[in-house]
Amino acid sequence: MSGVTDSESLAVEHVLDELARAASPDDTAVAPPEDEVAEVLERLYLEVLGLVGAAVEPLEPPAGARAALLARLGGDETQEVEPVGETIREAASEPVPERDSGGAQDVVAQRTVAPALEPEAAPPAALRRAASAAAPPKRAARQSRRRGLGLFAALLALLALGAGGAAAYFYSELESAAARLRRLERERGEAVDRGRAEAAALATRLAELERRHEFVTAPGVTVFALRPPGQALQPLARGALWLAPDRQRWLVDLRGLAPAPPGRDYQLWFLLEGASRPAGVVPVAQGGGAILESSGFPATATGVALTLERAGGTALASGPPILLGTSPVRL
Amino acid sequence: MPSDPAAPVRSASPDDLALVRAMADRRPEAMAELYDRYAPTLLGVARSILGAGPAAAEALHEGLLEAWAHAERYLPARTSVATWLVLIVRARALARRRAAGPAPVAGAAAAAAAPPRSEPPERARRRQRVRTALAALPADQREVLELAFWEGLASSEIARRTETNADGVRRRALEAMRALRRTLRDELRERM
Repeated sequence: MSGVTDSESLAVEHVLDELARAASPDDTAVAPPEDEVAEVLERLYLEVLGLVGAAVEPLEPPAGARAALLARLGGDETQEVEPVGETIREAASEPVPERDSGGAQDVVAQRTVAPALEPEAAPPAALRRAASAAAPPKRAARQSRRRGLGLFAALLALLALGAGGAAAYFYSELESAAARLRRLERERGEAVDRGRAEAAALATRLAELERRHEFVTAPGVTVFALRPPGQALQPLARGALWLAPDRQRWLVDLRGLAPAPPGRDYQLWFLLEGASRPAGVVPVAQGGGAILESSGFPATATGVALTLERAGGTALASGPPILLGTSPVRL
Repeated sequence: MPSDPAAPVRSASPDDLALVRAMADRRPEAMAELYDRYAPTLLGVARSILGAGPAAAEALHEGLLEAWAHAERYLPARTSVATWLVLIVRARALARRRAAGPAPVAGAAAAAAAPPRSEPPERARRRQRVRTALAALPADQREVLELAFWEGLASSEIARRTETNADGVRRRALEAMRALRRTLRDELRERM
């Protein structure tokens, strides 16, 4: 990329000078430079310097600091707020363990387990007997009385039915137990299948994320930083298109987009000399993000753009660019 | 974009940009979420500049109030939210140090001496990768970055401090940042 070295040098100088203007709040919100290459490079190198800050050991803020800050946000100046300095003196740099979320997890676990523990229809006789044997004395006594009544009823049934009737009675009991066992096994099988399906879906998702990660971090990948043009329709939207070194595959990651109005879709475009070529309709998720990847990047394309078009996309771009990226940087 | 400057997170939770937008809409819960994500690292940054004592947390407090007050000014095209917050708190800490007069430079070493906080292993690994990358820089290059970041010195001041000229400072900074850009590609990708 010709001219990048000079631009890089200027960008680095600009970033250093910007960091030096540290005392004023406005300094952290300076307007981007006019030059697009410089803007991309400055963004890159600001992030590099930001990582210098990420090398420090994190410290848990004093216990009262969070509440003090949030109280200030509400504009309640009358509220008694412990001075921040006091809270710091108390806590000094003592590390505080992360919030214990175990309780919540336990609740979730209980909720997950609970249905399996709910009593179902009458258990098989063998299970009832086993349960009775393990029951506490009072309960065992009650169950013993009930069992006596049950046995008495069974005896009456046997007397009424005779020997053949007894066989039928026991066969019926056996059938009932077997049916219940089959139902339990079926339910267990379904639960196992659901678990396997969820595990498979997660594995697929993980593999997909790893594949994308490999792609965008491959040596020689080119990135088009997408940002709103001067007259920004959506000033907080942003994104990046990652182009493989062989220019055969690309992936675009968009964020901060407003929902597409009814009857409209976001559409990505390749920018060529004096023309544009459709690159695909981009479905935007509820949070304003979208990821689209595809193959084939026109050899003569010099940039990418995102517009709003009629639903389903169009052959020719008609909407103004919402995001524009014309300054590729090879990483 | 998903998180902590040392560990950006992409998950079902609102991304950083959504939280800044919510702050601009004056929703305190967004600040609460950002605080939980970033305050430990931001306090580490402030303490690296101001050393142990209450001033670091006061700089954190002021910086986050400033982020709240100026959330609508945040430019996603300019920096990630993580870097934006780091720069704001760093600016507050540097302003406090300048107001207090000359003092020993704390730098990253002072923060590193602080007791480590319990945190997810991946976050600690990411921070270690950044440290390793910084440590691998030639000393003269690392010095330029540290003077710029931790001292807030301009190129000309760095040149005087390192007894070189502005071109030399620029060249060292460029080489250092190129090296970090190559080594920390994963971390940067999360932020771009």
